[in-house]
Amino acid sequence: MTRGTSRRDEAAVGSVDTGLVERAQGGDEEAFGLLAVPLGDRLFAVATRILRDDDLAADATQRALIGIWRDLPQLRDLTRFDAWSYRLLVRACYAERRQERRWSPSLRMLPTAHDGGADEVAIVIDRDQLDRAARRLSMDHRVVVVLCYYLDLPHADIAELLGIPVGTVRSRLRYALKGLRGALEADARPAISEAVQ
Amino acid sequence: MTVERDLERAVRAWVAQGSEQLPDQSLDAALREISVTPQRRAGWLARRFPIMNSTRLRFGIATIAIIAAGVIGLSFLPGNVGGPTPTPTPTPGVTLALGSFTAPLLASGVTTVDIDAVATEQRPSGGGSRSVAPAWGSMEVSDADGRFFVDLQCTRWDDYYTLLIGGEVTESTHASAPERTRVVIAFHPRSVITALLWFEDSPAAPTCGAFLEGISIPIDVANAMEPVDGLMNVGAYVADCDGSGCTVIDQ
Repeated sequence: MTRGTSRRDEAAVGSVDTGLVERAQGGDEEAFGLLAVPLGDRLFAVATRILRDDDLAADATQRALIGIWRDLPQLRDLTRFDAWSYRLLVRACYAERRQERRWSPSLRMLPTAHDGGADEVAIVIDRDQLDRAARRLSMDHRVVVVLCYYLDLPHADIAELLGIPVGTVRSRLRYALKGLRGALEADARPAISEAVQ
Repeated sequence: MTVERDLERAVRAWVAQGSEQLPDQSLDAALREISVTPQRRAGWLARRFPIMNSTRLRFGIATIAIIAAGVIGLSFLPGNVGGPTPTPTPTPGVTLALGSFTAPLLASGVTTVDIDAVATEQRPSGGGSRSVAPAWGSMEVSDADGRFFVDLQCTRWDDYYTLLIGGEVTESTHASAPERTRVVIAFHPRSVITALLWFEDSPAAPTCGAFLEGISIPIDVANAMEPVDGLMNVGAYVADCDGSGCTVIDQ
């Protein structure tokens, strides 16, 4: 779409421009439009990892962007804009997950075999297994995993963002990793029918 | 420990893969929605009186209460002191929903809907997500079991960006929709426009507005919404939908 592309060209990509945030807070739609391009990409990247579905993630991001615009005048500390945006996004992800009626697995293109050798193929399989295992995690656990390992947020920041105690963040992470390990081990075990043959 | 570290490394590698760019269509849709979404301002009391000791606060509240009581009391005085209440006159408005589409909205299956709904503003300002505004227009609904016409009367957007348009059945050959039944159609205009049609349970709400205000979303609504097939204008969106996805057409 031409309009979107031109906006992307105009917008500064990178960290949040607090000047734009301030203008958007005052109701400047053009400023918010410029802000929304890099912000939308960042939020979408997180949403797609939490929800593991690009369509749901796009809808969650859209919902979060609208919420950010609507509630921006109420944000007092502009330096907290990033964390506040992620908080709205996580809420939007939960809302999307609640609304989801049908499970529509994303089609993924696996790399074709080339000179990468056996190790690369093994990594692809590992990621595929991880993907399946991660889908079995609860939303609570997946959110914490993405915030911790994708955004590299400290546990205290995750706790503040989610409004939960730091201890709960740690325990969710621990259980998430335990769950992933368990799912991977289960995946690796042969099916009973295979084992008895 | 090594196993834990290996797992963490694998998880980091796993979360590193995935899409990084919001599709332009979604960005455009969000920006269109923003253009009709008013910002929520902080309460005027909070802005005007950021620092106030408890005595002054109590005094202020008491003063406001006395003024409010006076205003309310005046409105009940005989002789209609406040003067006649002006009757709101509908003014030429903006399109809420316009178009024809099919979707499995009724029990018999494929339902055809023709709608032309207008309101004074895209989104009622003030009063939060329960804010209801007058709307007008008509809707014709038909399926294998019959046909009915709806006089559209009120509208509301909820917190999850679902547009509700309520009205009353005026003519009907459909057993599910006898005349004078209240009906609401809901649209969720996002990457796919979804819709839902349902009827008011008895006892009936006193007004169309009360009917819409009483609807709880998303619990009642979102899980049952169906993608539409047709060319639709919903709020700021104009989209060509095929029952599974929509192409947003620039306005």
